[in-house]
Amino acid sequence: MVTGSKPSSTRHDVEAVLKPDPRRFAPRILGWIICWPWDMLCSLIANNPVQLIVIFLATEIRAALDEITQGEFKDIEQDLVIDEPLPASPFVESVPIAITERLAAPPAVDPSSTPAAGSIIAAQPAPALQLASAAMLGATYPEDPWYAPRLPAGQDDESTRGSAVWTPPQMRIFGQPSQN
Amino acid sequence: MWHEFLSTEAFWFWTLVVAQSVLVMWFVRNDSVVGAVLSVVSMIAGLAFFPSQWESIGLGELHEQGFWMFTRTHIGAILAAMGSYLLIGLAWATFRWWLHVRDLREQYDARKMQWLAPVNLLNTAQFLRAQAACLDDEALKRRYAYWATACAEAAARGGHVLTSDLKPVWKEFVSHGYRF
Repeated sequence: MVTGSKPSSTRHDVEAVLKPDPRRFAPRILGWIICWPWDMLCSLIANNPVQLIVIFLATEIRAALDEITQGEFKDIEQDLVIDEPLPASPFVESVPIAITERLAAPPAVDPSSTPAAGSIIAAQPAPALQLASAAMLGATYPEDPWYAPRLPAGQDDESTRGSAVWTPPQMRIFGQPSQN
Repeated sequence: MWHEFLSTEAFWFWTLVVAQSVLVMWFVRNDSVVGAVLSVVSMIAGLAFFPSQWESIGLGELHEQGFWMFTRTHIGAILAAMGSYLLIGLAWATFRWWLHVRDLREQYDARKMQWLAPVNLLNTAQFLRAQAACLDDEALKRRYAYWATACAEAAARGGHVLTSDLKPVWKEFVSHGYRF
């Protein structure tokens, strides 16, 4: 176990937890020196050297094969690298998402603003999932209308935005944001 | 047949060797140097009761000459053997120390990766926020709230990276024995 990692330890500094001090391990090291044949046998049994050797060989072989692949596909990868940046969203002054607020209180959905029958309804995701998906899409919900999911026309307002209907963001990247 | 086998000195000799070896290994594994050394000494003492078996471990001459005569005639070889034993033990202890330190490092890395997982960061953020709500100390409350925000933001970014914002939180976690 990690030296000094016991919660009851009086020394709660990082050094004590992480760095093993040979002076504090002197009795154990002495035991290793005096009883080395038995300790060696014990280590061999406990660490399963066959497994270690197989893992080592597998890692080395995989690394060698990866290097071969990298060498052969270097030119192909260069062909596929695009240096030009993608067009940026014009809404550059949008306010970043308030993560802590979003975590603390998920947006309330007004029952009166339930979408009409037949509209595409996505399940309400957990706050953490909303957060992760928003971050992955680079969204700055709810201020950025490029990425904010919307309800159908006439049903979208500040209280319902982003809560019920999902519109794929890639469909809006190069178009104008909806004005409803 | 079994009666003959069980009554032979060879059986009890090797039973003693195996049993004492297991005992030594158990003591070494449990960091009991005194127990391990005592077990080795008792094993050597026990072997003295089976002079007919000494030849099987390369000490047939000891049986013929007696202890004192053997010691006098082979003093150089005995000292060389003891020196070699301790030198090998020293080399083994150095290697064993490296194994031990590497094991600790692997444990640390595994714990760090586990802690930096997005789900765990979100849990940490919620825990820290709850802690902050219970605290009276304003400075501590602000620090915990700041840490909670840092954890939530790191989770939103996908985790797995120990950023400078997260380092104080990780240090606090580590210095308390991998817990808050």
